Amino acid sequence: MQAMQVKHLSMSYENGKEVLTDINFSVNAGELVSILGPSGCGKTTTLRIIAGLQRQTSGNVAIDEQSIDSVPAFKRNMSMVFQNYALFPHLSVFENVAFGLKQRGIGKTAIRKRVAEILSLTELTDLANHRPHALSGGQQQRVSLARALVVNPTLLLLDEPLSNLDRALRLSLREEIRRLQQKLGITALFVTHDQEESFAISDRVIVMNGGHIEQIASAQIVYAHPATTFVAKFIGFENFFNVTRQETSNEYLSGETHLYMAEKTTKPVVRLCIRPENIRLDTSMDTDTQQNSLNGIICDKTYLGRTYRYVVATDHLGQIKVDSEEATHQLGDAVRLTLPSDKLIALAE
Amino acid sequence: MKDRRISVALLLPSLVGIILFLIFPVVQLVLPVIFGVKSNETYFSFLKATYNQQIIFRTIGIAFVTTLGLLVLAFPFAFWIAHQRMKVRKLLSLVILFPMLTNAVVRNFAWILILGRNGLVNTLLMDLHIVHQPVRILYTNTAIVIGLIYLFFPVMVTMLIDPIVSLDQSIDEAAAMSGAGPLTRFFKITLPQLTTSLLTGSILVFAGAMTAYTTPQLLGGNSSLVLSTLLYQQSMTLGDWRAASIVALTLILIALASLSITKVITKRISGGNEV
Amino acid sequence: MRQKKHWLLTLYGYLMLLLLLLPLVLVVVTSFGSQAAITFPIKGFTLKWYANILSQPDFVTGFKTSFAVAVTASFLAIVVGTPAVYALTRCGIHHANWFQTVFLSPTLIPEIVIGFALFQSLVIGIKLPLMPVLITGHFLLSVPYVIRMLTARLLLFDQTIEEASWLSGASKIKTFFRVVIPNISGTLLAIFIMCFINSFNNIPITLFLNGPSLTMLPTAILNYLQNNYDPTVSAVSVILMLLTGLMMWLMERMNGLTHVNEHLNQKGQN
Ligand SMILES: Nc1ncnc2c1ncn2[C@@H]1O[C@H](COP(=O)(O)OP(=O)(O)O)[C@@H](O)[C@H]1O
Ligand SMILES: [Mg+2]
Repeated sequence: MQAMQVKHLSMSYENGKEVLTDINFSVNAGELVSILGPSGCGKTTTLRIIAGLQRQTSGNVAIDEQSIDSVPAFKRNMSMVFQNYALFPHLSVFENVAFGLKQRGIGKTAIRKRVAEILSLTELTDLANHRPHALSGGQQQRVSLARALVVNPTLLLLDEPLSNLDRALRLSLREEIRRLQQKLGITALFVTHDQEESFAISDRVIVMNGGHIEQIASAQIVYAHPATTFVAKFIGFENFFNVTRQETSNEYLSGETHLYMAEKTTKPVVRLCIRPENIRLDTSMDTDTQQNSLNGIICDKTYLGRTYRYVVATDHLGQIKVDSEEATHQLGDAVRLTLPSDKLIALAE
Repeated sequence: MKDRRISVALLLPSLVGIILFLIFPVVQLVLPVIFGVKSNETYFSFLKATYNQQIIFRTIGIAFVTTLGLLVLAFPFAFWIAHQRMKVRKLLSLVILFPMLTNAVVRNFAWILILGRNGLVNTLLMDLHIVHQPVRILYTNTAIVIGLIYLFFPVMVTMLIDPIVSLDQSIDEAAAMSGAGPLTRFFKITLPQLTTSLLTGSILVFAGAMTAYTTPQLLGGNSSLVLSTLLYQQSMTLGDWRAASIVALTLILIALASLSITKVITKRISGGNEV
Repeated sequence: MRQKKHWLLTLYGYLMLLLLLLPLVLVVVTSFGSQAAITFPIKGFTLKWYANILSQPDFVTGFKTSFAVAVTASFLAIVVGTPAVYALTRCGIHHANWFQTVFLSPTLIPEIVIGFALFQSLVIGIKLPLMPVLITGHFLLSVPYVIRMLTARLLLFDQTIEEASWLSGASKIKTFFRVVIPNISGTLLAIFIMCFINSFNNIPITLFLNGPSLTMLPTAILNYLQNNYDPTVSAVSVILMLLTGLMMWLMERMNGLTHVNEHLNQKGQN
């Protein structure tokens, strides 16, 4: 069931710049969907419009098929976890979490019980009487999460909640968010610019760029089959070849090089791409023409930690980036590259 | 739009208050001077009267000397404070704040005690046999200048501390590395960076000195009238409201002129920095 | 860290500090002298001048009236000014600069002129009683403090905290009273104290708007000084300085003093 829908949403600020163009997506009940995109692409704006903190120029937001555009933010029963925590500085952890329940006119004993429950779920019980400024960033964000969850929101919105934390905390808190979201069956929309974070946490990913949506799919599909050049670049594809399709629908021509794809496709392919780690690098200079193989010379080598990044200059496909665990290749070596046909991705634009 | 209506409702009370009770009365005061019957004639005859001219020149002169004196006295003091440790600086700021928040009558009364006929200065001078008759200092222009300097000294100092503190030390160090001595650095590096603050501070103090009332009243009295004391005298003692209005207009023009000059200066200098 | 300080500068610093405080110390010292005419060095020690304050009805009623006027005007300025600041900092008003200028206009016009203008158009012109006009004048004095200090505070106050409150189910009005106000209460108190001091000490406006039936403390002292030159004035001054000290202490406790200096700078002092 679709818990929340965004239909034809567009947004321009007063300076006339359009920052959202015809955004359409939905979040199903109990699902965690993330919006992934570079900074400035309109993620926050989308979230704030859904929350009712900002007014869209056109289009609408619906909960359970009911438009909520005329409902003010404080009546939408949504929660938001902000990047900078936004805790109430004058209230203790307990009071921060209890705030929303109080606004809903819930009795004192019920509040105490419910808050205690959430605090123990988020492992904050010991900090209940502390003021926010006495807590670490990770603790503050957990309070913010508890405050957002306690009211059992129709939709939980998270705007880059982990960006201000260091890496170790980011990983553990992101798992905690996922665990709580699933345990409580909360519907959630999670905004991030971090590809790994988005893939790790969500059921579906919405990739945004420049105010429009590039792709909506599960993390696995986005990873393996990026829909557009932008998505491919954003999630780590490095080598792009402009191609024209040959008679058979899985043979392509880039310059004078023939490239074959494992799958046939009918979409109007204009470009192929491949990840650096998927290219095979050999020294053997076979002369027999194997499928998708070509010769080149190593012109750059960088140590990346787990692998080496080689840049190989080829005659017809320009410079190709290859990641390999092999350390033996040296600058100037002649090498042979193989682009496995099942790892090549066809892009329509 | 609902939001627009709400913000108008929030702004309205204070806006109406100020327009109704400040702008309207002030406009009502100056309009007759500018547009009234034979207004030009009255205004110029006011300016032509030697007595009034004397007062105008005295006011300007006093404000000018006060400002110069403050520049000379406050700048090194602000420099001294700015170079203290953070804690000491905070403490000194409090010490400076105290006179600023103390009633002007008290502050001027202190100078009556010092400069008066039987005041501290005269007592000292006579005890040391430098003079045999008390010197007249109180109720002179000098007394007003001293009082005004005392009045505005903390203001000028606080205006200068922050800009000095936030001077980028590395610029000075870079200059030192390229071989500039302390004096060159002060005049060629430090001072130019503080020009805006010094200028805006000076103008503020100048305008303040031109329009101050309590100090010239207590330390200058009737023998050393300035525009503000003249305004009070004309209106409340002599009942010549026309003359009082002319003085009021003059004071307003001085205040607005100094405001515009400050705006121009800050704009030009900050604009110049961006290029 | 900083460059080495020259001993001459240090000497100068202490000297100016001394000159800044010496006049005030002198006032304190003279308030204890037993002779009716103030001469140096003072002779004897007495507290009778403090007792004499109480026998001056003008000082006593003046203190009460000044206190009441200052409290009323400061309170009014905060009540009226706070919504305006909220609108200016939160509602995305067009031409906010323009409004700001209007709100700060009481600092642009010399106080003595404000006093005269109010007297002429409100007291003489439409025959309002002195008291409300006096309060109006002091209200006008206070508005710029509210606008400046509160704007600075609200700009520092993270707006997402308010948004978090709205999303938690509190309307904008509830949020203002339950989230914004509790967080800026220290600043509001500091503003109140600043307005109070400024109003309590004011002379130029007060001068035009007091009268035989309406005595204010600063003008009462001014009048007293015209006819007398005895340590009673010193004693009153000491009381006023104690009041200033008390106010500063209160503000310091509210953590509000840090920014007071900046706001004072913008204003010439009478
Ligand atoms: N209040 C505003 N006025 C004008 N432009 C804005 C405003 N807020 C955001 N923008 C612009 O809208 C675009 C999207 O911003 P935002 O939604 O914050 O992006 P993200 O959260 O993806 O980083 C950006 O180009 C930003 O500059
Ligand atoms: Mg954002």
